[in-house]
Amino acid sequence: MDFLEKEQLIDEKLLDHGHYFQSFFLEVCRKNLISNHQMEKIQMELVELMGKEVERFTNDESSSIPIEKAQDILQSITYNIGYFLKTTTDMTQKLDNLKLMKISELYYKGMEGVTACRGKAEQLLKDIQKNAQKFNNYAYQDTIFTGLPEFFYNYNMEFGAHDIPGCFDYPLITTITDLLGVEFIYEFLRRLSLEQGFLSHYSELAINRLLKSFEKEAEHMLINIYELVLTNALACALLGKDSKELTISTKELDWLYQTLLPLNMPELTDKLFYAFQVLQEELLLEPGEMQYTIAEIPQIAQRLEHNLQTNTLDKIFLPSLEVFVKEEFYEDGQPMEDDRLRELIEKLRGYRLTSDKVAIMKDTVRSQADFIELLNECFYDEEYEEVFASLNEIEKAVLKKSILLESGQKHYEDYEPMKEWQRLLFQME
Amino acid sequence: MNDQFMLLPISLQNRQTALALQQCNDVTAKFGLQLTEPEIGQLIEHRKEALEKNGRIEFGGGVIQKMIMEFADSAYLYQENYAETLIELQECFYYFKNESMEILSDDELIKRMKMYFDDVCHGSIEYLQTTMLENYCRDIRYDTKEYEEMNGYEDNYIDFMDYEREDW
Repeated sequence: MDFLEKEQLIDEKLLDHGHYFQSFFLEVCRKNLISNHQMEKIQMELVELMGKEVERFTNDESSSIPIEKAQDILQSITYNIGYFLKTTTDMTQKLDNLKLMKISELYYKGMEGVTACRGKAEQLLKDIQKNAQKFNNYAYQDTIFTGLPEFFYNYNMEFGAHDIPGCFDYPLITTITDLLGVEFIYEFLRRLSLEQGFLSHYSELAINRLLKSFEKEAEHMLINIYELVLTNALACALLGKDSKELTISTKELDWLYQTLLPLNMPELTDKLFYAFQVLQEELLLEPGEMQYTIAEIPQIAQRLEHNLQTNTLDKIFLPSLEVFVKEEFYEDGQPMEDDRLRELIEKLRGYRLTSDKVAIMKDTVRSQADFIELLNECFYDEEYEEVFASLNEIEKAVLKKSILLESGQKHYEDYEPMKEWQRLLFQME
Repeated sequence: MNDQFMLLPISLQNRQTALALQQCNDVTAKFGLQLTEPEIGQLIEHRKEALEKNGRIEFGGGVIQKMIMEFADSAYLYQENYAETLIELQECFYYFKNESMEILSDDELIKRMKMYFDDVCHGSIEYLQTTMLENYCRDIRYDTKEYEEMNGYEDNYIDFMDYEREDW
């Protein structure tokens, strides 16, 4: 049987990459690529190796083990063998390895490969941790600083090489479905590193604002940050503006809707590829990051088409909250003790002149929560304007943002004030 | 890929076990105990059932050889009940291997079984299984007694059961 014939007989794509050895061996048997004698030899050697490993597992104290544990050990053995078989892409070479090498030899060589892969993955994790930005998302932070290190702490390549111990809640833009053990982790880290590389072109502040625009409690959500940033960056590129801020106004969103709505799927994909080229010129992505991003564009185009048809473009291109104006220059202070605040309220209620009240308030109040409490308790109708006049632009913007976020709305136009002072504040320019 | 064990040829294992059991006959002959070919077949068949029943898998000749060597000099074993007792002891072994949560090694459990079988149980497998080993393994699981130091001669287990009754 010549090389080409074998290549055609076993299609690499049809093999299960999580259980590589099993699927390869079954395929080889099914297509009669090895003799019965060779098949029996492989099985015998596998039993022998399994017996040895069980002996090692039980410290030679028990000849039998629970089936679940035996399955784990056998899967671990076959995972290591499969890892070695995967190292060559040549199908003839793979077959020769299976026929000519001892199963134990394949196993130990596989283990060497798994050890090397583990080392590479650990190094990759260190790099990721070093370069990690502080995004307001618990899943992202926990996965990088807790879940992934846990894997390396708990990973047992002798009796559980196929296991993935640890908790990785952070979702990548596309899920890894066909890998197990250290291969899964390496691939996860590789993709995470590429996503991180892309995100590093944007400031933490811009990304955290975008997350807030996506959802008020984005820090608790299992979302892929890279996807959100990429789509908004593409939208900025389509708008012909600098993508660094990642901001899209509602007017710009309307313009995008009007422009993109008449386009069909191939045209939308072309448009996004064009936007990516613009983005590439701006960001100068590494080749790996570039390929990773390009691969995602068709999926984004599909989502975009769906969002255009359902008139929900704001679900893919996130419009920014207006309230982020100069937020970075504002720092909230410590709220007062309840007793002190109560005393201050009583004291202010005793004053007749608004200017006196405002002066005392400005001297004593350091936190926004206290300020709102005093507005509710100590000021009435005409007095509000004088209070707001004493605030600077940043303080007013931050106050507006806080009220808007508390109400669960994203845009001023959707917000209906509950109190008189809130109505006045939002009417002010 | 759930059925991992399709890769392992079970018949080959059985052949190995049969060979090992035949070799045991040479040693047990001096105690007047012999296993015939059909009895060996029965033992292997029951081993398979006992392992399946208890959700376990075994490699090599299995634990039966060790058991034969340990129990061969028992006063309660004779040619007529030899094979039958071995089958029951074998099943008992796998059951209590699970019940002891893998804390006991094969040798420890076999030695404990032999000790109870010869002394407290006077050759009664039922008593061994339902009382002595049951209580012993319960103590292991709950760590209620210094089980490693128990020798089975005193009324430890009777006390334990009395205590349980008072409590009720």
